[in-house]
Amino acid sequence: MARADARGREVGAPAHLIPLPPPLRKPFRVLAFDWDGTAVVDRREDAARVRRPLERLLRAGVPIAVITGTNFGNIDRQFSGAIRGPHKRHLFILANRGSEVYGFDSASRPVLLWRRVARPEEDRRLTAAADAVRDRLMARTGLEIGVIYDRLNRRKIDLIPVPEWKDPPKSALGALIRAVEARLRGAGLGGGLAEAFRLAQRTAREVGLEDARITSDVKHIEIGLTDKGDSIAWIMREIVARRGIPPDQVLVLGDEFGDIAGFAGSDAKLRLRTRPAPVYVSVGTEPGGAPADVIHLGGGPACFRAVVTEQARLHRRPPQSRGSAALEALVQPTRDPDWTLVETGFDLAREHEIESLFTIANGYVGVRGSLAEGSPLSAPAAFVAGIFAASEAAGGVPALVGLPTEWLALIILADGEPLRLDRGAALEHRRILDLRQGILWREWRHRDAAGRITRVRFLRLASLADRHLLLQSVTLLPENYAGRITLEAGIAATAPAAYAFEGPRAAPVRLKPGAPLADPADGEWSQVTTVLGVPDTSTVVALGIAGRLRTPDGASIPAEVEVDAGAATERWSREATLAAPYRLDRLITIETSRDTAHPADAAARRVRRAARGGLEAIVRAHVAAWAARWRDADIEVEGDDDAQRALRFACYHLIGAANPEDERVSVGARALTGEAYRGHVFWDTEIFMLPFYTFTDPRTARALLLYRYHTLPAAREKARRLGFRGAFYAWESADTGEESAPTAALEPDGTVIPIHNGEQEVHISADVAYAVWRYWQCTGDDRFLLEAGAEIVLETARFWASRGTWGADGRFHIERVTGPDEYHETVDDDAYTNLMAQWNLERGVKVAELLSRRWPERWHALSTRLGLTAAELEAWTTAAARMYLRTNDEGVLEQFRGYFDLEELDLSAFEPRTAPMDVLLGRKRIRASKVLKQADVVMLLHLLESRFAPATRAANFGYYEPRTGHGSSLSPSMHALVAARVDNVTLALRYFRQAAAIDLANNMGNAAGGVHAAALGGLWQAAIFGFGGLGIARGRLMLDPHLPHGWRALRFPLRWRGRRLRIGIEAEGRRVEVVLWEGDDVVVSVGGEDLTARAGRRYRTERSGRGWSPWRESRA
Amino acid sequence: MKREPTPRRRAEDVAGPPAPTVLVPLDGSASATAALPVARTLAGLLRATLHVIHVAPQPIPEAEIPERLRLSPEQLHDAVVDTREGDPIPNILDVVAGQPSSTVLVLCTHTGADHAAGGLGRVAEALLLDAPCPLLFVQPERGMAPWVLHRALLPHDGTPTTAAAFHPAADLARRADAELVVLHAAAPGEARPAEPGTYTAPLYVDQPQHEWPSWAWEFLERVGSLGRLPSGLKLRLFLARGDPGSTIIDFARRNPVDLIILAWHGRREPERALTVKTVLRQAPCPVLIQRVREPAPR
Repeated sequence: MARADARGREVGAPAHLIPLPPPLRKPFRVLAFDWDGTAVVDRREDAARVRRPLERLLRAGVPIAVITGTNFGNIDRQFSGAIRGPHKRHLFILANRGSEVYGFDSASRPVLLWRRVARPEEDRRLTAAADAVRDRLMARTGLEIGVIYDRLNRRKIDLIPVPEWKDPPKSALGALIRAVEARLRGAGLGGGLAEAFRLAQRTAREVGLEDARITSDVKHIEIGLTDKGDSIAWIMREIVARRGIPPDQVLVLGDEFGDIAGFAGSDAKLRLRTRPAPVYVSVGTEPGGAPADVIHLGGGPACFRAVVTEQARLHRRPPQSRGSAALEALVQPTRDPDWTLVETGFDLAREHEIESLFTIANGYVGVRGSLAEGSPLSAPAAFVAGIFAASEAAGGVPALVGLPTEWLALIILADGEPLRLDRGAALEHRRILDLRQGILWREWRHRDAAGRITRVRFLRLASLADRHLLLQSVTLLPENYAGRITLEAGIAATAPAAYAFEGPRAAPVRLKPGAPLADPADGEWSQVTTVLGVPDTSTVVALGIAGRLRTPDGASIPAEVEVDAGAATERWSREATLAAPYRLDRLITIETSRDTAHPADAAARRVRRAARGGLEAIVRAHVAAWAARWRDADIEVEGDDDAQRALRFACYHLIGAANPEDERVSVGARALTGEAYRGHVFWDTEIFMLPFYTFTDPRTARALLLYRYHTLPAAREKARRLGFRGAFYAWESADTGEESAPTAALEPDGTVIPIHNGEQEVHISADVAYAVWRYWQCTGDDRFLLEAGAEIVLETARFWASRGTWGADGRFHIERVTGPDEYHETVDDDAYTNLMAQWNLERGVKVAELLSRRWPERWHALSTRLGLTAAELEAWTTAAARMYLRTNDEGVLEQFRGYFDLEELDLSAFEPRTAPMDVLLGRKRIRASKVLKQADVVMLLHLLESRFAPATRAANFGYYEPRTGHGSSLSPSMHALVAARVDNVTLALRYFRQAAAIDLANNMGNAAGGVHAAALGGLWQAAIFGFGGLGIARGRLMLDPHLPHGWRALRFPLRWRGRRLRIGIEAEGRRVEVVLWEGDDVVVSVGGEDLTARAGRRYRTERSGRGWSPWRESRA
Repeated sequence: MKREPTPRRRAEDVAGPPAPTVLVPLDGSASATAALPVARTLAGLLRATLHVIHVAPQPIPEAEIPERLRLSPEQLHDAVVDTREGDPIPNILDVVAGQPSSTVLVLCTHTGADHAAGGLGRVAEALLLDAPCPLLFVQPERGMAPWVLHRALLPHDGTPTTAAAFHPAADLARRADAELVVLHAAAPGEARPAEPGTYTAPLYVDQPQHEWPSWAWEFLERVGSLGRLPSGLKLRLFLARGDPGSTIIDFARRNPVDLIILAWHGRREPERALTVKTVLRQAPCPVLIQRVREPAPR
């Protein structure tokens, strides 16, 4: 062990030679430690020696928390200031004895994360207490006693203010105790230091500091508002719990856990009463002995370095990474909590939600995050975009088909005993959705009834580089035994559900399995191909599956494949070596008759090719594809971790929902994450999700709009069937675009209600046209406009001209419709519908003008084909100009004719509530009231913002917001967006959090049938258009930021007319930075200050009074 | 005094755990006998031993027992009859504690005119609070008519704890080939239970034609898994609006229901026991109270 010399400098063995006890020879996932006396001898010491291993740990993604009584500046000068790089984001400095927490941003700059702010009265009482203690001690002893006042939230009473003890090193603690005790007792304070300590406790109470924290480093007694207990509480809450790390994987080091001179040492506050607790280590001298639950090493900072050096070594080579069979040989998991969604433990009741949230998808296929070995509530499912089947079980409408998921299932036998969460004990269990890399990880350490401990790690991905390819890898490590391990795939691990909801139940449509074929093994890979039929159609889906087992010695073993009675079983069985990893790799390829004429051959070829190319290449390409996608999509929020993660979660699922390579599919309401909503496509896609794609991946936006172009014939047919002209899009659209909305629904109170949406939610046609125009506006994609977009806008405009009627009042009316507020069905002149129709009619005329002016030949061909005449265009102009709209004296639009006469209800009287307002009030009552289901007029304030003066926007929002019951998941995000734009950021943040909670709150259960894709798109819009204040006016980008309280910065990339930009709203919204990093010059405007940005340059403007400063330029 | 029952166990039962006990306290009043037909049917379904207990101030000669209980000897056929002296409450609890197997107490809500506002007499209320086993309360008004279980109503607040309590009731329904109707109530001013995994009415119903079937499916899936409901069970779900107590009573009055099964945490604070009190006071059919544990804090 190392020891200190008389001046406190260390002597003794080098760190790597100090032996450590077994509990410290395992990697911990969080390190937290006291600084002075533990990590360094004193603040003059060169901290380079300890910084090196700590920096290695930071690079390995291990969060490190430095706990200190001193201020941040002292630690930064001695230690953290010399650390630079992205790994610094894992470092936290908990300074000023529990009163402050600092982290570091992506540019390694310190960021204050939390501070205890004392009230003036508390500050006054601290001073009064310190003065009183000093006075009483001086009166008792006649000694000089000092008080140090300039400390945050505390006062220090100096018991020995003499030069020789001005700044004693920790290593001189024993001598210091003797000196202080001799001084106090010699002057008549019989109880010495302990009595002075008790005096401070008593005095603090007397002056009204009920929760004062009294600590001592022997020289001083401190009276404060916080102590290290606040530091460890913050660490456990914000670092440990947020990452889903078990507390016993936290290592806490200090030097004063035991009693010192009759009172508890300052590190005693780091010990938690809860169990399991962190592992505690003391490197101090502990003159009063260390508590039983603290590993007492002694040895001072040298021993501390030995511990962290060992930790750095262990993290360089974690136990499972030995050998090529480890998962880490393929890819390292992301540990950054801002980039991960972690579910720790196992809660059977939540399993369906977890499966939805943890879905992996790539726009072609989505696979729910089910347990491979199954559970009583597992609902494993995979969905291929565009594979629909009409089914009686689905009420006769097309439903997205769930693939049989036997290929996902896996049975693991350890010495013949199945590994399952419901047998034996799960010592650790975590599912981690790696948002950055698009990977589902699962970490599981299981002890069976015989005491065998098996560590299992799963990796599952749906390749974003080759959308037909999936990978599932599983590493098994028999931790404390050697025995036979067996893995079986291709066997159903779950039983079908046995309960039925009476009525049109949500029974899944499943593919019919065909006979699988065992193909000859291709080298180290065994291969199976199977073809599945879609019921009542000629559509088939083919799966190619290749599997192999990697052993610790690097050998690869194909499966023994048995084909029997229409099922294939792949089996691997080995005598496993103690503590050696075995990895099962399974590649799955999917081809359908939508993709190719010979799906089975194509699937077999593709899986063979993928296997030959190597797993490393597959994973590398997938990770690179996600990195490229994130480069154009990632939003950074500084100062609000929950918002940060919610936005990344939203972007993750939106990226996985759509396929830029397939223009004949769109995104269903639950994307590819669940069976709810049957995969049907609503206005959700165009109004809520499309902006995300338009601004981050225009290719995807284009493909989604081309889906609407390809379904235009069905929209025309629907209009014709109902007696109208033009295109009336399906309210619920599946593969062909035909109306797929059910006509009735059985409510759970037993009543059957008719569903009119298919006929009445006519606004869908304007929504599609709006999205088309917006896409063209943001991308300048003329080819799309000419080949598809213009036709959609013209045909939908034509629909409105035929759908409306002229009233006796000389106005154009649209009657018997349902707007977004579906609590009021079959209404006349719904404001949303009329205003969007008006816009659509006007845009039809504008498109005609645009095409005839810029592309006269194309216009001639198109107008001839559509039979459009000048008279018809003139009629559109007239209808738009005379469209019925009614406002009150304040400029508030009446949501529909007669709305202002309905009953007022105070929604706050129904809070808190767990059900939507129509359930609580009943359909009849709610229809007679002004209570809205969701943003309706408020939607217009966003979509057609320029049509409303700022005061009118505020008046409309102020009128409708308190009357909205938010019975739709689409509502909170739009309210967040509009609230921000009318500068009510507090309300906006509340709605933003409500929108984020729709899928992420842990007790809502909403996501069981799949994530709410539109709410996720709305969340993105609320951040970018609401808080970021992005808008488009006069064909240019405008920014009017409204950051909520606590958001220090909001940064996001944008694709805009062939350019790539990065926008930074910095300094809590007081500064805007723009970098154009690809493309031609672009104009951006902030508060009337126009900027023409050039590529490779950075520009910034700052708030100045009510306006903004002129732009300043620098190199990017 | 005990009377040995006719052997009724099948051979395979002998080697297994002891048969459950259906325990019926009878105080000698005519009202109390209404519990007997229900208890007898229950014992038949559970293949349980029917055990009658009578606690009297003085010893009773064996021959006088039927008369004292206002029953004919035939009506006590196949039952173990146990008489004790003293206060009925500790004696009944003592018998429950002494049973070697699982026990269901079947008793009338009240037998005299002394029942309190809660609908329970003194003994019934004490047993509700202190007996550790399920209790089946019978309204004395139903008399001696035979009881058949066709449909049971399971009010469910959406918590996993309540769902887990359904297993015995579901087993009973399966044995009776009865239908189970799960009833969930949504009321304004009611906060969502904090227990993780709780599934209540959806806060968002984007499209009712999709949302309600999905919600109902998920609700029953959770009930089925957490309550370990046997497969093949006839299960239906209803959502009602209003406070739980009144919606349960309203549903039971509007629909033919033979049994209401309530999961109860056993908390005695007035506001916590409101649903139980309302149902016991107003139910038109027998009510089975299934005690559940408080969920472990997280």
